[in-house]
Amino acid sequence: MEELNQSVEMIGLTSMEAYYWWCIAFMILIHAGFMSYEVGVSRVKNVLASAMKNLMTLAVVIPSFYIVGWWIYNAFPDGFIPRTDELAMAALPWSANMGPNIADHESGIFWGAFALFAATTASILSGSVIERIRMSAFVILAALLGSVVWILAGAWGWHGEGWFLTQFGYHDVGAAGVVHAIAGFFALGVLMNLGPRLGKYAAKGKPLKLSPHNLPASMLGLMLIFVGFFGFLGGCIIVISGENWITIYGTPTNLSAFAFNALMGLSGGIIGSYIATKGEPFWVASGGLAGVISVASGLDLFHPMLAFVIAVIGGFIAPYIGSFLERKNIDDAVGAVSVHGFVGIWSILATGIFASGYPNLNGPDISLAGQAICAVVVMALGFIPGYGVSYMMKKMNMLRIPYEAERMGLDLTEVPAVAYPEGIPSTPEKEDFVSKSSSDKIG
Amino acid sequence: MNTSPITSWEGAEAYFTFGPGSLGIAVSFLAAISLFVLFISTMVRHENRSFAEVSEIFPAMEREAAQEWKPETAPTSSVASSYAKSLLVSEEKTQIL
Repeated sequence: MEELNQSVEMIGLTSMEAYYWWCIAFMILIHAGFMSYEVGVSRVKNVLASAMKNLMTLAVVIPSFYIVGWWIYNAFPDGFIPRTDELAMAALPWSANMGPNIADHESGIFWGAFALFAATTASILSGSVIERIRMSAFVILAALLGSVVWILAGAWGWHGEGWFLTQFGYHDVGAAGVVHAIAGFFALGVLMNLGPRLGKYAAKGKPLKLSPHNLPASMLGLMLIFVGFFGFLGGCIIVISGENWITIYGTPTNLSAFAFNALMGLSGGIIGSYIATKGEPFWVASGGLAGVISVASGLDLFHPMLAFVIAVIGGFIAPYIGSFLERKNIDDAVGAVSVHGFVGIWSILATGIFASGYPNLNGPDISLAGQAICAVVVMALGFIPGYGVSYMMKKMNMLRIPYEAERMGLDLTEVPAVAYPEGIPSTPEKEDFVSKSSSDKIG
Repeated sequence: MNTSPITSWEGAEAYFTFGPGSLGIAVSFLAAISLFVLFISTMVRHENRSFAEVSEIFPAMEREAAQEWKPETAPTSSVASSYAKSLLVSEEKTQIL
């Protein structure tokens, strides 16, 4: 009997590992999507530099998250004073749990999923700063955001013992606040110091359109992000073998709940942005993302029709917020501050508005006041380090590329390769050659 | 180099190279941090060199660009009409096929 129990337990553990393994793989699709999205939005002179920035995001965030990020998550649920309990110590890089260990099926796979959440936050920043940030400045900011800032928010608001939950009953199951809003407001702080791209504004401050060089690539990128989001949201649930799966806050839920609302959110967001922009492709595609983010906080609680309505609102407001920021001299090339930052806040508030009264296991019930207070903290926690560190970089002349490099493009300046060595010529059809050769014969 | 912290798989737990809390882990940790710093400093040096090169050649490239390239203009009515004509021609061709 004991052997049978051990067998069942082992099946549960290995199934759980397999589940998160594939969530990680799907989350890498988010990065493929962001790469295609950003490359498409970039002008031809910067396409490779934008693509390289997405690769560098993975390169710097994963090791830095290994070194400090996982420890921050496990040590800081109470605020700024770290815990020194067994769980926190086990998350240090030299502990027995932070490497191959026959007795530990959880640390590596959870660390991996969180590392990809971390890389997602840095990718959100990546798109907004394209075409004028120094790569070195970006990788430092990406490591800071991915391995310190967001995960501190995660410890506070996305943890079974985080003070957001224990003090205010905070509910953010799909990480709309602790991933998306944090990254969006961090990006806002950076953009304020980085300034707009050359040629973005006319002399009197009127914003000009810097058209994407390949809008279909951007739209394909967003479709890939949608696929990747199923890995992301799947990684937001805690798998327990033989029992109901639970949210990060310990309350029961299941993938059925997530599937209803993630899909209704996706469609609602697309519709909302279509209504707002009369079908402008860039914003309609981004609207799908805004829709999923809109419903992410209460993903486990909403009725699907309500999720749809919340997502339509999120998709509808995103282009208007983007346009407002643009008029305020914030040149956010991909609308990240709007789609991730402000819509992430909308998601937190929507949960407070439409899901108040739901009980928590380790804190007060969900409430609008609790959600609103935590939303303010999330905005500040994202914005202040983003603004502060980028301000210091700006003063040290480390943030922005020189004027000449921006005029000539980053690819020509610092990338030892060419994106389109043959240009993009139109290719003739076979019939054109046939008719030409037959006319030659007649001649 | 024998890095195994175990001599048998029986009852083994953490079995990664050198073993937890070992000198080998400390050295690996410091080496990883050093490589990370080296990576950032390599990137900064590459950028500085690239930007300096571009600053040097930028005036010449600007002069060349001004000589050989025509400034971009919005499509004129004649350009637009020839574009429309080409669309119609390709449509006719499709219908014939």
